Amino acid sequence: MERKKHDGVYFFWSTSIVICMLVAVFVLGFTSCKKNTDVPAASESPTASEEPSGTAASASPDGTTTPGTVSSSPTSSTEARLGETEDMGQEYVDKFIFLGDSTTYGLGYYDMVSDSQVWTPASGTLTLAYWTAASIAYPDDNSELLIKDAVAKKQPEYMLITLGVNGISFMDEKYFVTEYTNLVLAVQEASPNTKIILNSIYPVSASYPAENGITNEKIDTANTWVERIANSTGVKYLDSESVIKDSNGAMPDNISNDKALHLNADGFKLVINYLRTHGYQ
Amino acid sequence: MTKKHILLITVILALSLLTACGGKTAEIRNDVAVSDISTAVASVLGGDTLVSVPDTFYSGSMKMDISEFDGCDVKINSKGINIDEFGILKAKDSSQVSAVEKTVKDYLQMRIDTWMVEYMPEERPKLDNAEIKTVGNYVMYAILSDDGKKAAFDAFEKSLTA
Repeated sequence: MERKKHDGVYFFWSTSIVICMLVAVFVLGFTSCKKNTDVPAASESPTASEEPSGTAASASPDGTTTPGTVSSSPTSSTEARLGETEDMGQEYVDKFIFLGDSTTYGLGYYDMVSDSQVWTPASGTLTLAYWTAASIAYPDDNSELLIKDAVAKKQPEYMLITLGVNGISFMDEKYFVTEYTNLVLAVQEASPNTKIILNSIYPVSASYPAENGITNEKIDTANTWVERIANSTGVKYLDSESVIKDSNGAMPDNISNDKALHLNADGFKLVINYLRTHGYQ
Repeated sequence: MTKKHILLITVILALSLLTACGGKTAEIRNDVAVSDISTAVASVLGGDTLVSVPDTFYSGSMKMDISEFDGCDVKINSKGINIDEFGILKAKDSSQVSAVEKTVKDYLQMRIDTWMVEYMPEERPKLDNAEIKTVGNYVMYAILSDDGKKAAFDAFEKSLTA
């Protein structure tokens, strides 16, 4: 009787332990499987509403930023700005390589210059922030080359750079000046004899949505940076925007192909004429 | 059921418990160079057009100080013909991971806020559906097609769990 009672208690506890361990194995098995397929990961789409932490609007055009490895020159200096000259003629324009974004791409699109003179990435546009990583569609042999490599290969006599409108929405002054300065230095290093002109950023139309972060006020500010970079790197600045601005500082609709930020043929004619009559000296 | 049977079952279950404790999570590596992971990810995306951005990109576009991270690499399409992009950032320790994730979220939001409607509108869904994935101290984001994201994140996890 006593032995039977003892066996009963033993059986009860043994069965309980086995059941508990079975449950534990079951739970751990599931947990283990989940971890294997779902590695400690968090996946989500960006839905945060935080504002970008830096915008061009907050930067002062008279800042004292030291760009790249070059010291800033006094902001009041205008020695880089090209003054009016006699018409240098089409032969002068034909000596240029035009490097830039979609506002440069249009020069070839509207046959203002030969396609072989227009350097943009295959997409037709270029953001200043990406210039070191971007490859251009090198027209001479249809290869893809980094800008510095293309310049080293071509050794252009003149180069007009038009960049910045795609960057001012998110690049603050320091970032903008550093990147642009480094680009100029890279071109100078790759082709020391190339005469470089930094072109002003063209205005956008008055109806261009400010929500995109691009306004004529920002463009005006950025153009002071571009001129300052020209001064500090010893190259020239072309104030071509002065001939394509209306009284409100915007791109007139009659010279825009999209009532946004791109010139049409009439607009480019004004720019080319300004280039010819403000020759490199 | 005899005592022997019960003992046998108990031993088997105990061994099963020990096996279950040794799951895959213990195999996540924290010593893989970001550049190695990035190369592995780029290779599954057909990566000869994906190139690394310069260091100035991190301070300028992502508003981060790379010296505060254990490594980072962002690759973009060099031709600019699409907006394909991914980035891998490694936190110095686990306490920094959430800050790294916030940096990436802020960057992606900035990209959305400054999107230019003039260019490649067909690419916009990649940005709207960009994803962030965290494994250990590594944070990866991807602005890619759905297929590209799957391949990229698989390569990312495989690099860290192999």
